[in-house]
Amino acid sequence: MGLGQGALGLGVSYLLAAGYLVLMWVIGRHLSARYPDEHRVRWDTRTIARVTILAAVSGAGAMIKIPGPATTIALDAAAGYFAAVFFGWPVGATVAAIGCFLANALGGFASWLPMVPVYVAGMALTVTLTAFLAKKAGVVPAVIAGTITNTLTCLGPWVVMIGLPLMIAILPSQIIGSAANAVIGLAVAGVLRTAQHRRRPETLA
Amino acid sequence: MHRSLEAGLPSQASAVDEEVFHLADDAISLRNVRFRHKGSGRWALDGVSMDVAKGECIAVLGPTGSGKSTLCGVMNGTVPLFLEGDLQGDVTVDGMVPARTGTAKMAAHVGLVFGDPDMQLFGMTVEEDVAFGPANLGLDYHTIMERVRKSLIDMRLAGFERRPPYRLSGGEKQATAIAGVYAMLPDVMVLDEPTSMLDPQGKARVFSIIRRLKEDLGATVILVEQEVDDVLQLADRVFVMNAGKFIMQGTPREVFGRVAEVTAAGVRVPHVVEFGTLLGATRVPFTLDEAVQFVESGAWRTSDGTARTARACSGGLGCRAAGYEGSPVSRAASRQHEPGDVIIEVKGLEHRYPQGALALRGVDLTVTQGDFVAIIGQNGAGKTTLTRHLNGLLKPTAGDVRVGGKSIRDMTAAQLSRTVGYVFQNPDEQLFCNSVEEELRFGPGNVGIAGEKLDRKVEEILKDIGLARYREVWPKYLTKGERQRLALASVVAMDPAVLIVDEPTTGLDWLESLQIMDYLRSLHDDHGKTVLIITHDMNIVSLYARRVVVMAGGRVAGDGSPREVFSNPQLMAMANLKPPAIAELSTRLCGRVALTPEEAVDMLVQADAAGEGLR
Amino acid sequence: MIVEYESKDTPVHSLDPRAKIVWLLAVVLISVIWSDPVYLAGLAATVVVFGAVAGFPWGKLKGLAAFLIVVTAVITLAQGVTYTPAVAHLSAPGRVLFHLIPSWVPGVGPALPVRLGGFLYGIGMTFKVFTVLVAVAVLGYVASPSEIVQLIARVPRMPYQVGFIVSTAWKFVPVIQLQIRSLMDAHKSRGVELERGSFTERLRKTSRVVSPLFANALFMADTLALAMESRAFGSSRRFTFLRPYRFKPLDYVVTLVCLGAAAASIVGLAVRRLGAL
Repeated sequence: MGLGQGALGLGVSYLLAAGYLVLMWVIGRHLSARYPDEHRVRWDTRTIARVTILAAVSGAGAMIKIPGPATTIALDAAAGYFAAVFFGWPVGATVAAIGCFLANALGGFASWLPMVPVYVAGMALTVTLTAFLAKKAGVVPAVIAGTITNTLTCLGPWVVMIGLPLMIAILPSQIIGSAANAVIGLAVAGVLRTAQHRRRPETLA
Repeated sequence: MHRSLEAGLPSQASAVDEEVFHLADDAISLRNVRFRHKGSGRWALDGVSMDVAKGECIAVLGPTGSGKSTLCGVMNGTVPLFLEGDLQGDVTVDGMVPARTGTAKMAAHVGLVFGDPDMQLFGMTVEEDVAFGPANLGLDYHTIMERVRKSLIDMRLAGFERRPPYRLSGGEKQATAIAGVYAMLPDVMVLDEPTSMLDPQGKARVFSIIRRLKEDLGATVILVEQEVDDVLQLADRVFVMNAGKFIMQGTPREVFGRVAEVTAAGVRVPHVVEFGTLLGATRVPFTLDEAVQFVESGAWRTSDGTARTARACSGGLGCRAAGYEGSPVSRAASRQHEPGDVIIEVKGLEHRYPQGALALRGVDLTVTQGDFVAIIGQNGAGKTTLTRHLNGLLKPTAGDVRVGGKSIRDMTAAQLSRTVGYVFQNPDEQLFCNSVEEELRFGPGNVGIAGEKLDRKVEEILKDIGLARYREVWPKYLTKGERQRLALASVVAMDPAVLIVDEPTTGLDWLESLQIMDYLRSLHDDHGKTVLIITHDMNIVSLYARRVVVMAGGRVAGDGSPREVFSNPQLMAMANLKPPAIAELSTRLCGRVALTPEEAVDMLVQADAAGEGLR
Repeated sequence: MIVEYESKDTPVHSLDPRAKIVWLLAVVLISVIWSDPVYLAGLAATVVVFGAVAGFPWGKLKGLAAFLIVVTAVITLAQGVTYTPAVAHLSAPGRVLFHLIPSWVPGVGPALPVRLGGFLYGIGMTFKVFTVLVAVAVLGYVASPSEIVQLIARVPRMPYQVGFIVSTAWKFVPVIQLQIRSLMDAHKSRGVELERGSFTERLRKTSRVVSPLFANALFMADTLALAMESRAFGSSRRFTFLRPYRFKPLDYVVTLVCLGAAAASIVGLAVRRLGAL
């Protein structure tokens, strides 16, 4: 039995979202302190430009549809995962948050506007936690953690509001979608990092 | 300039007055400037000096990688503040030292515009975009709007205020980008290849703006360009750059009077100039009228009445230029193959896009094996829509396309890729792999070509495109010209019978253009490939194509050899195209179309000897 | 957005953007507070009227309609089966309307009873989703993107960079979409069958499309940053391009009505449980 899709249910969802942000902050602070080279970010013009373009990639990525086993999957979150491991968690969380907002806005807020702040906070937490695990435990645990966190943060509030049964129906497609985004985001980050470290033409005279 | 509006400038802008050096009336003064990118051993700028007076228009020419963009960056401080590295020497612009003043403050003194208009637009509407810079300066709303209004009028964009930038044409976008920079009221405008991504109409629009900046608005203009023909008319002085140094400088006439040197530096020489030089002109003609006047003056005849042609390598297209390792371009167009079997047959092709626009209105076209076809026409004429049918990316709304006798209606692009190779305009949208070699192996791998045969093919291609030593390099690190060649080669590796290449030379410098076109020619001549290119560059058409298909309004408006097409002024006017300058010149002088300056000289000499007289 | 902004001369279009956003927020707030389908239907009707005054092209919601019918069916039935709220003014909220698995199904039927309370609640919820969706579409139709940017820039304490990122990213979406299309076309032209293969194969193919997209994004970001620097981005701490909007009488009316309605719905629910099921 849920709390309903009214003021009470939504209020609790917003509290949960606030919790996501606190958790993200705690994990992020730790990352910044331990790995300042990778996870401390200077908000200069270049960083803002990167966030802008990657957020646009997120928004446009909602257009890439992979026909999956349960439903079609949109690649709207991959850019956030990518940014979190490639440019540090603050950039990743911002890209994930703004990208999530953009993707929702482009879809006309079809998944209920009042819940968008919750999704936004959930995505920011997800990519931060993923970056943390990618650092501490490797890519595979990071993908698993990202998938679980993304699923929980998105569906959790709905469970609170309207109960478990309906959400179980959505669960498979949600999990596959989260996993696909996490896998692609982290895989591409790995690929580009290797590519970047290839020798430049001018060193091959 | 703009005294009336300067009241709006924030007071901080003058806080740097203590740094003022004020060298007479110089807008820009560079003294022995050197710059090396962080982590690079090579000096991108290697001892550059220049003084530019207020109101002067300076053109900087040179091949890609010669340091032109770095030079532009030095002037507004983005080098070394944004693109970090080691900057030496003295730089003074508008009385300030950019590296000390900071980019943001320099923006009110130096406006920098570069090639890709999409990357330089920020607003939801043209008006808001132009307001972006002034708003960043912290001006109040009314001052901003006043500047926006003035800037839009000056850049001939009045009426565009509420239009969203993404709905504009390339030329209009670039005009908006220039207006956005101009609204910050800089004294110096630095334009870094502003027309490199534009079609002929867009280029014309931007050049008319630059002319206005120079002539009516009194701006100091630094113009980096590949479009030499337009530069000749605009610039007060020309600097030629190579390997981070100015190797030539002077008025356009001084510089282009030394055609061999200009060519050796990797700069294209306009055909009219080459024509004049071939005839031994002491004062080279810049325009058609000047060339006609020169010929009519008779100064090109020796005392005994014969032509005084300077045949020994005048430095024309046939000469080897610095850094160009390819074979010299032969004057003859691509070799004519025996007419082969029909390979592509288009009948009554119509195409309507889902949004409703009818892009093709009944196209009939037959291409035989071994053809070298250039498809020309204005933007929106249907060139790309047509070629995208040939490899199955688009399906006909009506009519049919047959490739090798089979209808494309039931074939996917992937299936057709073995027969028809398609190379897109932007190499960055078709290079996916992590190294040059992987890129070449990707396509063949998808269609099941592997093993020793592929290994040999890859080696051969790497050698052909001159990238053998870069096989391990990430394609993103290559120059635009190299990436374009690699994109073409990655399709060639699949060994298709037909190659379709969309705008192979757009955004490339002259040498890079020659390299990719020579490679295409060798694929045609030596490997028997059927080649179709889409291009806006009429010089490329006259040098390489055997056959020209003119498109207009979704139909084929004309079809013939370059000479036939360029001799048909009605057709060219109807398709809104301009024949190459040398074709116009030879028509005016001899009544016939020449495709190269040498041919035009031959025509002239023969006509003269035959006593036909000049028209 | 489902329906793109159109510049038109209607009373709704000419409202102050602040009044427009107050309208949307009031609709959202009231839709959250109420759960009685009758009340929510009334709210939906006001949105439809608002849209009609603006000349909203209802035909463009066709694609959305199919989606909504599915959502409605799923939510009402699922709610009917699973959810029985403590309904105040229904005599028998637990009354079974019908069974999802009817009695003639051998062995299991009848099972999964759909109850009245849950069923009505489900209908109310679809109205909630529906009303907000249409309200957002109407707002997108009557408020230009630049008006929305102007609103973001006016949010107190919001760093000006956030507004910049959102609006500029919004502007770049079509550019990136074109690039995605080109990358896919280029893959097809190199012999890749994007629509074929198992799920993992498609995933691999997709990541091949995405990888150059991200690589390009890095280079694009550098160019964009250069363009921003060249236009003095960051020179001033605040963004001063705030259009001077002024409330007209109609703006006051709309704003006061919306705020009043929102307040009344809260008070009504708290005091007399108006709008609750």
